[in-house]
Amino acid sequence: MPIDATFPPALVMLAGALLLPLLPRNYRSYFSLFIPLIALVLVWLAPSGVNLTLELMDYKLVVYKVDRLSRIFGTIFALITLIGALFAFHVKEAAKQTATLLYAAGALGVTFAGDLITLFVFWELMSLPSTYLIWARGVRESEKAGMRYLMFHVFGGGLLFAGILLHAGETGGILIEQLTDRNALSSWLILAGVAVNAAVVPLHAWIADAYPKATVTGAVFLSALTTKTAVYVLLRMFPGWEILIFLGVLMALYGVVFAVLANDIREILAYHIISQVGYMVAGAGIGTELAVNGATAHAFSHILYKALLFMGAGAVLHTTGKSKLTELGGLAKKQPLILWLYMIGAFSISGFPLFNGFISKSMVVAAAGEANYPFAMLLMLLASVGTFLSVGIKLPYFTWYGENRGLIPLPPPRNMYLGMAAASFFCLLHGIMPGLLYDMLPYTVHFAPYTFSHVVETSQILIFTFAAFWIFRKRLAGEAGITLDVDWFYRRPARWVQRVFVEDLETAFNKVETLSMDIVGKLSLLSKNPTLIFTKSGGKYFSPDTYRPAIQTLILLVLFSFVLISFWGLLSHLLAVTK
Amino acid sequence: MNKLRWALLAIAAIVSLWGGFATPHDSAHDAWWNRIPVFFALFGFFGCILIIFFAKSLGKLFLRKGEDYYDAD
Repeated sequence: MPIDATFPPALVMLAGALLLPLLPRNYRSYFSLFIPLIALVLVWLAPSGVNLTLELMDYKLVVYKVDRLSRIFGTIFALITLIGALFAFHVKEAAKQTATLLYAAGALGVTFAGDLITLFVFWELMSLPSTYLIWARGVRESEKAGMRYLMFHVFGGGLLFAGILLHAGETGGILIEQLTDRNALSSWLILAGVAVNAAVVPLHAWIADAYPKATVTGAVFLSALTTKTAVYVLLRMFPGWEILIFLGVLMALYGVVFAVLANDIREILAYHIISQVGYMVAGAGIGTELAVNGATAHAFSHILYKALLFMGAGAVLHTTGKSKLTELGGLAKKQPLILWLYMIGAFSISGFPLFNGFISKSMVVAAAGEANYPFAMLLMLLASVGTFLSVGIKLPYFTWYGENRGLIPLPPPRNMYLGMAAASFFCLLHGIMPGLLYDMLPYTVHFAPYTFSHVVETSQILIFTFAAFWIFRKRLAGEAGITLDVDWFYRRPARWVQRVFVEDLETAFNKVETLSMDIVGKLSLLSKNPTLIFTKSGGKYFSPDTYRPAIQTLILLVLFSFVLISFWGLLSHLLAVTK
Repeated sequence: MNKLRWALLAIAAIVSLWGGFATPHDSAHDAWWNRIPVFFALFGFFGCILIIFFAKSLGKLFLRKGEDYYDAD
């Protein structure tokens, strides 16, 4: 097949992933930049509409379908793979680079899938490479967390697949469309499967468990791809499902509260993925044009600034080997550039005017107001207070300022700065020129972020959040330890499960085995001399001789009978003579 | 934080509070909180305190455990 504008970008990534390990070591990093670049160009050049179909038995698979919603998601997935590859340019291990490209292929495949089977195949393609990016850290805790991550996603994939099968059975069609039947089990199964990947509370625990334990560069891709493909599917199939408003607002606040407790800097960021994705989930739930636009714009912005934040935190981990607030501090003078690039991401996620979070988050909040959910609107604003508190102030304050612990960071590879600078560029670009982002959104935008009242409102919130932080900053210092989350329900019982189903069961089996061997032994002994039951004599083994007259007795008896016979013969003879 | 930064922050705070009074209001369409000029300043300040104390008390109550909680045995 010749490569033209209708060639699916997911297949470019896939082909790149397969070719990459064959290349010489020094060319691989360039190749890992080149492939997402081609994919990005293809996403932009592709004509709208169905570009590739395949026949699978009776079903017609729509492998590559482009519209405005999928194009903007495809754009950001390809772009962040490119920026992430720049950040990871110094990584030379073919396995990590291949995993990244496979993972991005999965995300792009889901985005441009026109039917549920294609969607599922690419959905599953994402899970293993992303797990590898966690395992590749190579420490024991990432090995265990990666396995929990994988099992969670296999479970989610199972829910999704069950939903797809039911849906195909009920409707006879496999094309992706808005699901409207709130009473169909299939819709709820698909929703649950997607919700696992969107980290919807209470199916979210894998994210805060696994992301902080991933590799420095892998976490950047993880933060961008898995949850946002799920947001895309929610926007595509579940717009207007009211339950998502409730769940989205819950996520926004839940992430904020748990981030206050977290000690690991990448765990703080992971909880803020849950929080930020909450805005997008709520946007999908509201389902109006403004809300879908807002959720899409926020996904685009979020991918850029969250990748930037993970790059900043990753750079700290890479250069100091530490990632806990209780072990960090006093780095501001030693790595000012990392600090400032991080702060661009922090200002963006907090929704500062002139940064991209401001122009996208406010769309979702405004959509909640417009659709008459004032309570949801206020709670989302409250979550943005918490976002600025944790990501914007607490994390940088205790990492780069705070107590100087005498850490001497190594110089990071230059490409790390380049990757962060590229992400920062887009954060500022869209913050200053929102039109560039708004023009890509699925619906025409009638929303102006830079109104006087909106800027005033945001400034008041941010300034006085900072004031409250400053007063109570001592209470916010990191504390050693971990925070329980719903992963408790499957991690804590693990030892009981281990005890009941492995250890106790094994003990029981051993006991039964010993007992039965014992019984068998005793029975077999008994069978050697059953008469023991009735008599105490006879010895251990049964011997017929015990109950048989001895041969001497027999001979004696025979001889005696001879004697008797001869005696009687003699006697009768004597009697005959005397008569 | 040096004095210059505190001064800048104070100016920004005052300007934002003034902005709250200067924002034109359309009482027919506005939500109730928009009629309070300093609402979002209070919201930010007390919201932040609420989040800190709510989270920290949950942590004290039962959420925070030692580093080896899951690997204890």
